[in-house]
Amino acid sequence: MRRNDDIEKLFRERFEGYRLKPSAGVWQRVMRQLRWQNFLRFSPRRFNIWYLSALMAVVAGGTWLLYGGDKKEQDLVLPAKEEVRPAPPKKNVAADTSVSGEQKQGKNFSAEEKGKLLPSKKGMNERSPNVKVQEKKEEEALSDDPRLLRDERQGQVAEEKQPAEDVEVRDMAAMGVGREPHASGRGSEAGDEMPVARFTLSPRRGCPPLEVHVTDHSEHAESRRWKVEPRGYEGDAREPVLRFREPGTYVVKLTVRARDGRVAHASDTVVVYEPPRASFDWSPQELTESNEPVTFFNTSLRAVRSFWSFGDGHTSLEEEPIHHFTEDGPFDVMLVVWSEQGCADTLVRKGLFQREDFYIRFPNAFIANPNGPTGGYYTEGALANDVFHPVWKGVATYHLQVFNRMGELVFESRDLHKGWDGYILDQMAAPGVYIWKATGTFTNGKPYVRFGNVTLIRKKQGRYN
Amino acid sequence: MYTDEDLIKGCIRKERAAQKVLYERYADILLGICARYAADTAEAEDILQEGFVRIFNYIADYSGKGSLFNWMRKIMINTAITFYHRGLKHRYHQDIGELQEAAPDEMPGHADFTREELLSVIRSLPEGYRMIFNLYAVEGYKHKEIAEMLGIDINTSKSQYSRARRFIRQKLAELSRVRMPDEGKKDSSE
Repeated sequence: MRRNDDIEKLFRERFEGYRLKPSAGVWQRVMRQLRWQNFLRFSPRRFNIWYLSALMAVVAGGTWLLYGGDKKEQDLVLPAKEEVRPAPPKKNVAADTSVSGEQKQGKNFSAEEKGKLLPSKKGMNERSPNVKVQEKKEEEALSDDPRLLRDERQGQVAEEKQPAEDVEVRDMAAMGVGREPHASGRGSEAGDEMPVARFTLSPRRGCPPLEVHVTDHSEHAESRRWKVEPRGYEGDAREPVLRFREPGTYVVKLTVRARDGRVAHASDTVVVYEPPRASFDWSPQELTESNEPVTFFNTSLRAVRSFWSFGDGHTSLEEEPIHHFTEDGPFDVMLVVWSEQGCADTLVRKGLFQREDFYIRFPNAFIANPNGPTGGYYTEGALANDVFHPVWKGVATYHLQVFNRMGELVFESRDLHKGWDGYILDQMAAPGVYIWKATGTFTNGKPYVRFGNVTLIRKKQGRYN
Repeated sequence: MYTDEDLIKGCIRKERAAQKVLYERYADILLGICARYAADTAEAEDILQEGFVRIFNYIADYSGKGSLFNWMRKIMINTAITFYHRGLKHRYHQDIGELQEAAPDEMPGHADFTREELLSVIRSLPEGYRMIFNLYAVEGYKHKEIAEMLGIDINTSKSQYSRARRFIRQKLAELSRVRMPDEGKKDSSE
């Protein structure tokens, strides 16, 4: 043992205040790591990855806007003057929509990014004169496009003003439909279709646990991404089944992506109602010989309707029924409550009012009669509390001893009907804690031993309860 | 000259200068702690690096209760534990059974072991033993705390610790046999 202690002592002493010079590169590495973390973390004040990506999105969007359409058409790098050809304007529409997709993504950043994204919008506006030029150069088929372009932009602006959460799925669907004709109107070559995000939820509100089936009506969707906020499902199943346990309002968001990378969004809300909570109490707690009726207290939360089953074949729709049990227990009492929205909760309390045939129980306090010793005889079931005595049933033999804190015996009784009145030789005992022990047998022959303490309370002379 | 309080305030404001001074003041002694938990100096410096990044990130959480050094020491130890857990996935494990538990009866006269020798003994311990030995013997944690920190059973901590101790005793015995001839080496870092 000693030797073991030696090892610990040896190491502890040797390494007390041990210093080691770190190599020069460590500090640089710490700084590099901190800078990288700061870069990844969003802050409106510093340049970081969010600004960088916003910047890149702007640059990419602008580039796409200027050259993207032509490049794609020809698979060759062609100068902008090729715009004279009939095809490009269509492509410009496509370019604009792709920008709109990016801008929507930008929405996921924070307020600061929106400002940053403005240039791309400007770029689009600058672009429109060009479209008009083309329009002049071309004929009837194209006269539609600028209008659509405008609609597109308006829709987009409206959407940015209004958070997606408030948008009902029907509205989103309508938007999708609104876009559709122009998508299909532009000659339906594969990969040139506008994606449309649209889905329905069933049911959209209900009691927890709520199972919501999603039906996907999206069009031209190569992939879909679902996101339930807050803290919900995230994934790309085609038609997920969503389960909600916790009450609250959830937003189901869908992002669909077409083969060419364009995206569309839709969202809808699910309301999970706060369920009621069944709870009750009753009085008296146990059935007595006198068999008085039992009052049930309804302590449920958010309940507007109640149903009681007392376990003896009787039921009640009252909120707080009074029930008279005509048989002996035990009974399983059940309470079902419903909330305003029709959510239910059930509470069953089993084995109530069980009759015991053999028991002996002692109280932990009594108030000695200040007017003088009573002799210790008491009336069973009376409310007076001036004698320390047990409540009991089926007791055959009995021996009670009460000791003070010095361990001196202050009272002793072998008579069940004679308790301690709090007096020692006609003198009231000091108020305080006394220790008692009871031994004996029940009428079925089983022995019992009980012990505990009881507080003697002294009331000023006069009235007492 | 900055006080620790000045440095803490500066670090909360993320001032490079304050961070640098704090680093320079405590890097040596904290690396001395990391060294015991790492298999080699490079790993010890990795722990030191990550530990300092954590210190700078979370310095606002330092309550001011207890010394700053103890707070940073705790972070270094926790970082070492993170490294240990991370390493568990990749590294070769020395099976406990492989260790010959030849416990020599006599404890070598140990008063003259240098710190470098002890460090090499610690570093030769299997990683799990090293963690527990450091935490229990040097840092003075209870087995219950160690079990919580490492996510192991308290009895595992106890049994691994007694094995680690036997292993160390054996190593020290070997060491004293080897260096019998050239006695009188002095601890250079003192």
